[in-house]
Amino acid sequence: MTEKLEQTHYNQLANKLEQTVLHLIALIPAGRSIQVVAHYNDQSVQQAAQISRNIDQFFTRLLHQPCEQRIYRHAHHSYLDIDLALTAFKRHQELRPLNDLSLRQSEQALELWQQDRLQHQNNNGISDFIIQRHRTHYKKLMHALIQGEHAKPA
Amino acid sequence: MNMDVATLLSNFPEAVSAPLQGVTHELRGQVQQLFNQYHQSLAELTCARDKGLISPAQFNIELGREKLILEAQMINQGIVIKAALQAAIDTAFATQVTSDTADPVTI
Repeated sequence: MTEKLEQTHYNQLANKLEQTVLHLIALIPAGRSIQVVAHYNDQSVQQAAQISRNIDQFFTRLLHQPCEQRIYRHAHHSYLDIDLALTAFKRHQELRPLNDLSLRQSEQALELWQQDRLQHQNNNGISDFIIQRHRTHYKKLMHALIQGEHAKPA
Repeated sequence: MNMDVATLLSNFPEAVSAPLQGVTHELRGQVQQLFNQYHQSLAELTCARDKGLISPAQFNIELGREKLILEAQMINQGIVIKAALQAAIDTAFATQVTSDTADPVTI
């Protein structure tokens, strides 16, 4: 199943690439340079790195608390602070032209964070297993965001 | 502005596709690596469910998260391809077109 998914993804990339090339050939006036992706933005990298550190600190602190003290009320302000930082980050991505892919990643980060907050609120607690897992998820996601930014042209 | 359209169109596919081949080969390796990580993560999740560390409902939520994380990682491939494509096309045009116009075209 994994191989099939991988092949499908690869085929989709190849088709998209081919279509994009054809569009570009048709659209580029002679002598002009083209732009299909946003330029590298250092502010985005710094913002993403800071948010990533804050999320990691949040989960590490939570992990070092005894389970019975991990009630939602104690974590409410931290959830809100990170929610605000992720929302600001997403808005910054929205303002950048040709930046739909990084925008999607920032939306995914915010979506996960809000889901986690609600889950913690509903359960009024969080297990070691979930803390460790979610900490890893955000590391992967924020790392992907930063890597994506570094892949863009200067 | 001087441009030989016939020469440009005949050389264009090769001029653009050659630099992209290296990129797509590299991306294929990265896709494989991401799917391996995804596979391992699902195996850990299944093990946790079987051991009772998470409920079946939580298991389903975590499955959705795994998919979303994988999607976020895959998005980078799109960025890399777009950036490589932009560079390849610019290079192809720069070698075949002479112009004093420098305005970029956004798509």
